Amino acid sequence: MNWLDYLSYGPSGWGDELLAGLGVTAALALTTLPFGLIGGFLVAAAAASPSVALRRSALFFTTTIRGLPELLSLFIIYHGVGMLLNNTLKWIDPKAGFFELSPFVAGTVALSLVFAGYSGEVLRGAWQALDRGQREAALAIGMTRWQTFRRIELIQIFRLALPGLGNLWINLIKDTALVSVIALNDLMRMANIAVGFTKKPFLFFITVCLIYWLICMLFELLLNALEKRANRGRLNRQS
Amino acid sequence: MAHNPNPSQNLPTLLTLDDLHKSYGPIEVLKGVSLQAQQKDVISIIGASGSGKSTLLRCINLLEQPNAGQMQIQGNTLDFAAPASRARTAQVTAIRTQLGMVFQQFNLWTHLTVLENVMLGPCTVLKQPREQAQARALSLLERVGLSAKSHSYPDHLSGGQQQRVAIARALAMDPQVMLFDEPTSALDPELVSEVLLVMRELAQEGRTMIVVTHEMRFAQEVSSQVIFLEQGKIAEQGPPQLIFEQPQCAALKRFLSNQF
Amino acid sequence: MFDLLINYWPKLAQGALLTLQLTFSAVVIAALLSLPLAILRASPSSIWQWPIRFFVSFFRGTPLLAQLFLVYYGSGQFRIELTEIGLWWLFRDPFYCALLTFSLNSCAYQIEILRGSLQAVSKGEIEAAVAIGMTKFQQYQKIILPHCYRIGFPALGNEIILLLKGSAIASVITLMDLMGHTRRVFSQTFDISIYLWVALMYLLITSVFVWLWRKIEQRLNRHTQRSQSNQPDTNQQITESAHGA
Repeated sequence: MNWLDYLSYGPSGWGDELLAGLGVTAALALTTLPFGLIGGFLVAAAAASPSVALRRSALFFTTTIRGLPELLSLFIIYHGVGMLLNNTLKWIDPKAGFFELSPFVAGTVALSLVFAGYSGEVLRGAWQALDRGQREAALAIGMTRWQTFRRIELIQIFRLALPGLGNLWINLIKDTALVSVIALNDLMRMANIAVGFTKKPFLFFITVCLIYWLICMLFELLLNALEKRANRGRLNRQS
Repeated sequence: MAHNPNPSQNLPTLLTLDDLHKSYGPIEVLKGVSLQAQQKDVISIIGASGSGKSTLLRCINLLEQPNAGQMQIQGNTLDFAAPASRARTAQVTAIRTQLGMVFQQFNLWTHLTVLENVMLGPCTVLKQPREQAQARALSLLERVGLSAKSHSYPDHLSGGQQQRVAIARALAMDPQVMLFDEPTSALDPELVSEVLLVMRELAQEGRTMIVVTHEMRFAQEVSSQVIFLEQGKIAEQGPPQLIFEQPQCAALKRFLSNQF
Repeated sequence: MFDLLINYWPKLAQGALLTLQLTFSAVVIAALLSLPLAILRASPSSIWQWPIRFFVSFFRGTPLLAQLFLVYYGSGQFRIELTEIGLWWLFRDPFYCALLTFSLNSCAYQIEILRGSLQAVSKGEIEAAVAIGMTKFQQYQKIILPHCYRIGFPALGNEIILLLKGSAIASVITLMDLMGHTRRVFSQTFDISIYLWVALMYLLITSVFVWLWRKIEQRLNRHTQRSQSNQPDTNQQITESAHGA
């Protein structure tokens, strides 16, 4: 068999399986992003809040989540939350069956937490880098706090945070590969399965690498364009 | 002297401050400042750095919360000794729309074009229709000589141009009183005059203005009243002729001799 | 919960030792490679620019797990050829494969960091060195490199932490590092608290490292006038260097 045949679409090749895996990878990353971002905003808000307890919890959360291997966080969620759910079920109804936390849900939760931890720091940094004069000028013409936040601060925070968030998004795409370890049929795991059948590990793993590489480069280009757009009107970008 | 409106004209009082106090922790920056601005008044506030000039202006616009004292503007009375309340917040917004603020560092919004900077207040706060706000913004930009730059972003303008945009932005709210916080201090020397020119024109039109400034010639030629602030108190005040030509207190004499 | 720790701590200690060995050997190898490559990458006329860019982009643009599989499993496809040239012992061993992958990966990130730092060295200071007649080598030795490593120091520290965490995936190719032992213990006991103990161990290792790195940084900076308050805090730098642009 020629190497192209292995990657072809159809019953003899693995192209369709890899594509399905890519779909799962994309779904996982895209599902994680909104939850992770909302989490990041909450963390940043907590870190900037006047309450000492909230600030400490934010610091505890970000320090912990960023100090742990992503793989470990994933296992803790997958096994830990699964076990917790089952114990709770047993406690409510001793006859309850075993409930299996789906790898997709576990992956989404774990990666969202990781994303929240890192993006919380990025957003907090952007918030701190914000020129106070921008806010004062808005308050001085009588805009309400909410108007000031929405029309002035949020947009500028986004501009300041964009490079950092872009990097985190690319990291997230790469981190999805970890979920293959808990048997989610993503791109990485489909390649593993294909290798098991075909005994062509190099071919499939280099293909998978090239696919990830291509995706990351595409997003890098996209982010550069976005950054240019967001920074229109800025002479010297202070990133 | 180019322009010196007679302060004794009996015009309505727009703004009254009564015994304003402001402290940061243990340090009292304003120790009871009172002043009145009548319509068409141009009040210059002068004094050494650290005398509390900028704090006073920021207190008027409520960017800083005074600790005690009263302020009256357009029938709104604020008593700062009273605890803040929900009603106060609405009052604060109402007051701010009647006070135009021009900052030392311009504080133009960097993500908006010049035109959008001028339009944002009228659109979001005054709820003017876009077309109306835009027409007015364009005419204001023309007035400060910047209609050609209306679609530029602030970072592409010189400091003097940015400050003129900031003035247009403040004027767009049709404020009763314009506040200027050292509007030329952040500018290169050659850019100062273009901003002062715009301010002179505003004064000649009869705009009520309160100006914190280091430009003594401007204070002397344009103001109707000069206030000399010294260590958080008004040490001397009066028409510019008196302040500049016959200073009374020693601190003012010392201050003036260092200026010229 | 505590009996688990008492029963298994020798295993966990062994695992932690392997994690540290793996990480720091990879960092050292990467550091030796990254400096010359970064200098080549930064010189505008070099024909090496494109191959180095390609290398950096590939290792930064693909998952570490995929790289590890490519090296460890992928090499199996060329077993005969590798045996012939006498390299099969290297690719047969999961430790060497992990070491090779992590070294190359870290090297790519370090090149990016050093490249940025090289560009940040003040042109005036280099000109001053040229003006007093220093050779190119002296310029690098006395002026450029000391500045470069001082500027890149926090980012390099973060890269090491990221690699330390990333090294957990070595357990997937059966290496018994800290994560590997953890997974084995969990599969034997199904006791979730093992994960919490290991989480604490990872946090301990990273915290000690952060503390140590900061001490070294202070020593490096002791002759400079830069005020401490101007330097962003370490937390933020971790984020920024999280595969910084």
